[in-house]
Amino acid sequence: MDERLASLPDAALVRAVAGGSQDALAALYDRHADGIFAAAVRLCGDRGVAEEVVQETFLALWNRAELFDPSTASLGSWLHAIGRNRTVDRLRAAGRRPSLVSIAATGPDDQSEGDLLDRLANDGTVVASGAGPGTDPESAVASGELRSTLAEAIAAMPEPERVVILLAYQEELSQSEIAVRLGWPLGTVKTRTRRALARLRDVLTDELGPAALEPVPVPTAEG
Amino acid sequence: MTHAEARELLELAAAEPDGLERLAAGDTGDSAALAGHLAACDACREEYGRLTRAARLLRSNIAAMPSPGLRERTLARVAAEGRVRGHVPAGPVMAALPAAGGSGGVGVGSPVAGGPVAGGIGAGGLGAGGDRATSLGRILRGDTRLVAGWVGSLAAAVVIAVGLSWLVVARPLADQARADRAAAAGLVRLTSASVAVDSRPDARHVALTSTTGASGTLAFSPSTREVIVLSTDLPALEAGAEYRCWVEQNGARTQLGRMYRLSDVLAWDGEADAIAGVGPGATFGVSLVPAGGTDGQTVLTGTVAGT
Repeated sequence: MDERLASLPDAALVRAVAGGSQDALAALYDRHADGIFAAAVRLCGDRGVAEEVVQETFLALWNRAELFDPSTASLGSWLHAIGRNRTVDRLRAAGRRPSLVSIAATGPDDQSEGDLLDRLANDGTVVASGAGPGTDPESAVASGELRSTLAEAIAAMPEPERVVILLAYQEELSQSEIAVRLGWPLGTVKTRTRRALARLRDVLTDELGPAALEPVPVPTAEG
Repeated sequence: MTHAEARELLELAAAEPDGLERLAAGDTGDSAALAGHLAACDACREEYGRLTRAARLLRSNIAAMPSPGLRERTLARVAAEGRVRGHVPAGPVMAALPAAGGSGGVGVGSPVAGGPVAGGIGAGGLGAGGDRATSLGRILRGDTRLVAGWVGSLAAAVVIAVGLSWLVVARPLADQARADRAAAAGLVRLTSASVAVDSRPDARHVALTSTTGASGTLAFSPSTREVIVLSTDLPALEAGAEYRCWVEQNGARTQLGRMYRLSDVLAWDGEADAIAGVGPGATFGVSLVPAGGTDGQTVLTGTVAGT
């Protein structure tokens, strides 16, 4: 993203979108799309649906930019509300119920739980209290910033390493399944997986510090 | 078991679904040996703990990342389907921002209408040399009707793109010119995506037909899960309806996505997990459905031929 565009507040970019600037729309995509996608994935568990939700959310932003009022809500809240509604619409059209989600999974970080509850009560989303993606240590740091840094690191990887790590963590494939899918020897898949993992662990350490990766207790086979 | 062997087992398990948990269960030869090693090795036990935490972080974050192509697809769809707004020329974007803090003009190329798309084509797609050009040449040398039809669709898209570029120069109406240029850029992007799929070693092509005379072409790659669907003669949509493409294998239908219109071309391109398992006998299709729905009238179908 252009640095000067990136430095502009959301409200200024939305005004530019209303004026017909596709550059401003692209800048807002770079700023908000990952969060909308992540929330949609958590709500529906389907990456394909989540990608359509992202497209429709930014189409709505383009078509209705004049309706955004920064004095009543942040753009993040506005876009997340559109995205969530689109997700629920898709699930209903497919005859599915929204996933049971925690409050923390349904909106951006800058929205209070009270506001979220009010909104969710209005549209019937099923909300679970208690521990959710936003309350355990892992999810607490599963923020947009870390996701963005990891995405950059993955994009910079050699393609064979990028492919195996995405198949492993996005599609939940085992190394044997990856070998079959790609037609690579299992040993090659393992080597590339270890290299990719080592790179990403370095990123985590740089971003979060060694303390964030302190060991968790090792479970025993007995219990 | 050595330290190196233990570390290798742990690292590989960290990238498997529930791999570290299964390893800790100790119910296989490897995991039992590892359990014995960990019981006596503080360093490897700590490594297990660090890997467990790292794997959870990576899994939760990477699973929530959109695919890299979504940005272009989103911007192309907005350009194709969004309302026509007053055009802000590439460059002085900030001129439209009186309250932006006086940043002044900024030279920014439009990601939809210019730079990255056109650059991608010139660098690796339709230009001479490079893997894609080689693959395209291989396709062009094929003698099947499917391949000919596919290349014909690509050629038509390029011709339309060039024609629309001419219209940008000729037409005096700025709004129309912007819409035309966006559609042209979208077609160029679509052509680039087509060439990319065709360049995959396992690329397959399917002819889509209907009883009404409409037709389409489809290409996919099981290894990369990429699919691209094109049709130029499906009827215009009425309000509240949309075209959706799907794939059906072993009696199970999986929705791929909602098709979008770029000038005269109706298209869908993207990645879908279901493509990984598609083989001979599978059926692709396009259905006319109510907006947001999945069930409707099938308007195009085609079957994957045997190898």
